[in-house]
Amino acid sequence: MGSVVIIGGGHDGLVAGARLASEGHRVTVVEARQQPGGSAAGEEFHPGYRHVGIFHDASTFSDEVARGLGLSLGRRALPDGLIATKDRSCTVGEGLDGVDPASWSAYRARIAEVREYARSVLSKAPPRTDAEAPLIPLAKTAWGFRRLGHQIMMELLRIGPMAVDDWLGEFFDDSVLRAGLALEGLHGTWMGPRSPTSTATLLLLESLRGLDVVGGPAAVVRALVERLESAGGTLRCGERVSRITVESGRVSGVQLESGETIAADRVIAACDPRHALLDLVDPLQLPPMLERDISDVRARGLAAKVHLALSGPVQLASKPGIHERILVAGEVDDLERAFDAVKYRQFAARLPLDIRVPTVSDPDLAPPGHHVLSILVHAVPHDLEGGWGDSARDRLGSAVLSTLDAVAPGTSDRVVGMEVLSPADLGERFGLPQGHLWHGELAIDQLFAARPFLGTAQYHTSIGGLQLGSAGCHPGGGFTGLAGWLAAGAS
Amino acid sequence: MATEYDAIIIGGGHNGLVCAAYLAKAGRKVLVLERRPVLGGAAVSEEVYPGFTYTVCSYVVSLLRPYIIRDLELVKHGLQLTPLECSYTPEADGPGLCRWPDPHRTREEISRLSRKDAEIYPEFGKAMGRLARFAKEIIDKPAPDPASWRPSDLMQLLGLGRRFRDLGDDLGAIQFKLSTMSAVDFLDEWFESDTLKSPMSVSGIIGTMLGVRSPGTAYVLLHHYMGEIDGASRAWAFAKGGNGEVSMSIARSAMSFGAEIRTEAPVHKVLVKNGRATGVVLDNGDEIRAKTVISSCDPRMTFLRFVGEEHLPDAFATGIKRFKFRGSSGKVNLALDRFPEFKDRPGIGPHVMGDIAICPSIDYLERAYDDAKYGDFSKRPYMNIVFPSLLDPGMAPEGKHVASIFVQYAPYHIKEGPENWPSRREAFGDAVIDTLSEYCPTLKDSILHRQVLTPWDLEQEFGLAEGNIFHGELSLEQLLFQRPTSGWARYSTPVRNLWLCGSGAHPGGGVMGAPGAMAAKMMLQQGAV
Amino acid sequence: MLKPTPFHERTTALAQSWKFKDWAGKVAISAYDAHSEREYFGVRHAAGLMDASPLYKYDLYGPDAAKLLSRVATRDITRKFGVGRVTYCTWCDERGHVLDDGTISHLAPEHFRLTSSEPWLRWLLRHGRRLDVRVEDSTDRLGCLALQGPNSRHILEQCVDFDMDRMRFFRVRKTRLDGLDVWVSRTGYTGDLGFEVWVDRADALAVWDALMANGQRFGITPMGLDALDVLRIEAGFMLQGVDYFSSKSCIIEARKSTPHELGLGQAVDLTDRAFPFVGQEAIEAELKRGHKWALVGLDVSWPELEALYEEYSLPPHLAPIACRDAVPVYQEDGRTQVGQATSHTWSPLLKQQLSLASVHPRYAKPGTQLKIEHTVEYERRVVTATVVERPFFDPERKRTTPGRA
Repeated sequence: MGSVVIIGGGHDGLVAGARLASEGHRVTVVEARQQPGGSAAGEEFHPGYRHVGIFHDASTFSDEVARGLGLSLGRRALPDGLIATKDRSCTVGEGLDGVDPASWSAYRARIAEVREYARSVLSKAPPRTDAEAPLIPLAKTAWGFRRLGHQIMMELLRIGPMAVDDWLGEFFDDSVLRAGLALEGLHGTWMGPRSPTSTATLLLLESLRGLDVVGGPAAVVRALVERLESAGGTLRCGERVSRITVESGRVSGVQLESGETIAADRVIAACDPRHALLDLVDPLQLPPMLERDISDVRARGLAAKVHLALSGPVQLASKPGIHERILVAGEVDDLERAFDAVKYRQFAARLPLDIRVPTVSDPDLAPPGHHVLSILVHAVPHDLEGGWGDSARDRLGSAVLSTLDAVAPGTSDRVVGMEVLSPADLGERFGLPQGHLWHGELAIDQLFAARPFLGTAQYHTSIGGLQLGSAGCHPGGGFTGLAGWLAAGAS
Repeated sequence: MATEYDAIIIGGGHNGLVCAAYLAKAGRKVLVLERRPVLGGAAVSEEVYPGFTYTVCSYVVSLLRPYIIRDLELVKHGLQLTPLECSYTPEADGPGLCRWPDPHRTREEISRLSRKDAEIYPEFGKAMGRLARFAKEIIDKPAPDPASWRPSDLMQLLGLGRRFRDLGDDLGAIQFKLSTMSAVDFLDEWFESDTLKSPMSVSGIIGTMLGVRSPGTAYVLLHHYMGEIDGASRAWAFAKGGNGEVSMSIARSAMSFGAEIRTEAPVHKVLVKNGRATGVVLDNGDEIRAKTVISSCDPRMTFLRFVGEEHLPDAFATGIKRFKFRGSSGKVNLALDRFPEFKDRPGIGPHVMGDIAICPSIDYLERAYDDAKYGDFSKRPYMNIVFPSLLDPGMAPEGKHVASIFVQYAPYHIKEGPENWPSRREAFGDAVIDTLSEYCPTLKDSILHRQVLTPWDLEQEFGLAEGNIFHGELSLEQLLFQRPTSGWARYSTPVRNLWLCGSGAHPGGGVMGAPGAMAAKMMLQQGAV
Repeated sequence: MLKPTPFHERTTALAQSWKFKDWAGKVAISAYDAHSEREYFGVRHAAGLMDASPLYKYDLYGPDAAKLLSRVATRDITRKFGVGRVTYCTWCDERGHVLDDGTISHLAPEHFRLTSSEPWLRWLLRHGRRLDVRVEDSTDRLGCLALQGPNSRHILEQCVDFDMDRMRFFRVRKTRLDGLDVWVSRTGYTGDLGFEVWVDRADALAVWDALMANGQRFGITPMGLDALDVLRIEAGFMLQGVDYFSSKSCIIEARKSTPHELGLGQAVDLTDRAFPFVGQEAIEAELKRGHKWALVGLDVSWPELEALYEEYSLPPHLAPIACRDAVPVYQEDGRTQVGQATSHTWSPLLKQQLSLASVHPRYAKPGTQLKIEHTVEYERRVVTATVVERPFFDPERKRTTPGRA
């Protein structure tokens, strides 16, 4: 059993570390920040107010990984989504309001048809597709696809390349409903609702999604750290890897910023793969095709995160009451216009907001009666014209607040504290080039056997012993833990 | 009359005529019925303004299959193709970019924009040329069917798979990217200059309601490298007399083989009895019988109008109703008193004897697309222009000229509703002329006549549903085994003895003749006619 | 559209033959006279002057310049490659297939120059992205003249500020020629004593004039590409695009070549490197399994050629210039193909018919008798060709330094 160094103590790094440690390897996980978890770590963003991570929930965290590591995680259903505008709202989820039940069932049925197959594909390493690839795994994948049956198979081939608005339009006439449903499937992409293939990414999300974990991503992180350490793995926080040492085409270990070297014959980069390969490997040791391929991976961050500390609950004009999951996307044209702005390196005045109120299920995150709003904003370009200085960040914050006020008047009056993380801030905080939280766009040419690029979807690189194991790998799609799990399992 | 034909072909567009010619050549008794007084459909030349011949809709030839030219002896019947010299992309202020058949000249031009791009450009061409050979396999054969268990189909899939593996890992990866990415994203991996990428990317959006940054637009880049005129790849050509002469040469060939062609004979319905097509009935009530009926019209007109939903299985009807058209193009033809010189490269020179693209940047193309997304024509549209009179002086009186301007975007579904297009027609024409005038200052003063065709006009006059020039969008889910709908991509239809042979069938639109030829071959092979 | 080189005014004025050619998009002279023989002998017996400006030239500056070059090319120039040295090498793609061949010169501390037959700016910039190096494309900025032949040294002696007797083989130095700044390298493509002069475009014509003036009494002869082709074949030098193809232009794998297949193994440094060069792993793997081709020189049997033409009552037809028509090479049985000969010339000096060929390695041993195809009166025949060592012509003067430094 050799020694393994894992770069990055985010959830994938912790999963990989925990798995390998339980298998008897000598594992060291090195994390640059003071606490582990990466973007899944909960933090106090304003005195007295905490959030549970950049991502809203852990509903995509893989059951298989949880079982495999023996994690005991409390599960609960995702709260219903409330899609809201100024005048009206609809609820989707366990409960349904303002949505035709027949259309909703037809929609969910279509998703259910492919979910099983999709989950089985997403939880395994993709088959190799190169010229020397063994044919059996490829044949198995194709066979699994054909076993869906002619109708479902053809339907998938039909809808996969479609724009999500076109596909949702086959079920729902309501533009607000369509926008709200589309929004969650656009996270991590560089797309709008009218972009072809955005249906595929919505299906990806819906297939990965299961029950949420009580306590959100932060709870998963705590469980993972405990598992890693109880299996004998070492977690070193507050230390940054400055070099992956490569000799004769193989890794020999890592060097830290402090100068210390840790020898290892296996290194798993659970950080952003571009950072790992382009910043940490000596350019003279980096194979040119690997350099080219990883540089070509598109990862244009479109997400921003805003945390609000509120002195009271959010009051939606269209629906009184306390709501945990709110989607504000306007109509489809509004959502598309928000994406249009990004093309010209701007952001729209009305932004698409994916809102979670974690204090609804965990009041201890804020003082009594107070609330935390966790807002994942889409369509905020990492390469904003003029750059992401303080004034740009302020403008973003104002735009978010005014979008929110339009559907929930008076919200900004209740703001006690606010943290605005632009794509640049996210990039700096979590080591993400271009601020991409998913380490690489979710796009059909960068998924499955092509994630991060063809030939490297099996977690190996052309440098012996250097593996990639982050969201930039299969299956992509946010907080799953599968990349770390599969990278650790890839021999 | 009691004559029964072996085959009636509805629509005298180029695909219908190709199909007719092949069937007639095989000895079948064929009748072509065309609604308009002229043949050609959207590949038509008309003297709209006295003394000036417009190549009214389509205006260049590239992918007209060489085997069709040979099999139907089109040259003998008058087809004359002249390669287009170059592609010129003027800039509003600057010399713009011209890409020539001469690689040195092209290298010079691109070097001005980026030396790195100039260096990699030939390599790009080589890779594309190699992949175009792979793509031709797909265009020149019936669509592969992934769901079929038939041995011949499995062999075809395996064959494709083997050819894909033959490409090797590097080219295979490029092919994969071409099939999935947006034109701009794909080009970004090779080039840095916006002025170069802009005209290259634009082929990906022709006839679609997509932008150059929309996924699925990269693969059309291959078309540019598949053109086979005089054996040179990636060449466009102009047909002497305009594209109408392409259609007429095919018509003459068909007639030489014994086909009968009637114009001003609009079909009202296909006669269907017990799930079988038995003939057609014309608008004037005449019934004509045939063993087989073949439609070269688009799938919507064919199945929902000529046949009727009541004769179609539910799943098929749903698929046809879902088949997206969403026309996005318009056309402006001009009769000009004199040549409208380009500000930054004045004079009539080789640079204007090819095609001219108004697309100074990618943002320009995206903004044009944005206008269309929300129901309006592009205020500053993308234009592709050819001056037919420079290539065939017979198209205009001496010293005068015609301009053929293809425009995107002009969405069929404008926010006022498509039926209101006539009231917006002139404004659309003005937007085109105003934009072009920025590059050609003398344009407005030289216009003798202008013909503006909006998507509405294309639908009303040429029978193109929603004005889509390809009989249905060429988006990923409407191609190959899903064109026009899955399970029915081999030219036959659920109605026995009714076949489809137009651009709504594989491999799709453009003046290719491929659907017409392959439909005919499929029918002959299966003894269906 | 071809562009002029810095010497265009002089070369085109002298080219009475109007035999121009496209060399990398520039106007190059094929031959100044109706026939290139005089130019050929001008080199072998006196000194030939050729405009080699169309070569691509890249100047690399900075602390990592040597590293960049050692990374992309097969030689390690980070060690034992002091200022003033020149080396010939190849560079490859990651699969070990040759992209191009050329020279690397160490001009000054942290200043190197690369020459090549194809453009490589994008490729150099790409590999140098994260290194401390600046790459400049000097292709158009610099003119290059090749002065080759036994009298070349004497001519330069007349006009440069340096004792040419001390200039060693494969060295370069900065000096002044008739008061103008130039680089002079003892390099060339003729396999003879020779030099190349590198000059800024603005001073090009003056340098040409100075060399011509000083060379008159030494028999200086302007020389074109046709003569060069004969000379380089005699020297056993392959030509990219003829004897091998750059990996980047190959559409099929079978056309690509590795350095060892081109007989350039000695230009490949595999050991004691601080970092591998691009393609090293693939080349090491190839060494283990053996390479598929070997580049050899062939001496085509003159008696058999004479006898062959005699069968048709014809005198032997000698190509007036070197020939690049590829023909098959067979085993002794004249039927089993074992390779192809891609460059051929009659050597006026050696009175031999020579070819460069790629054959399967087991036929590459000098002395091996093969058969080469030769067409007479439209009929394909074969004659014996013997594998010989390259270069065919290797005069001592090529390498010697009369006044050793």
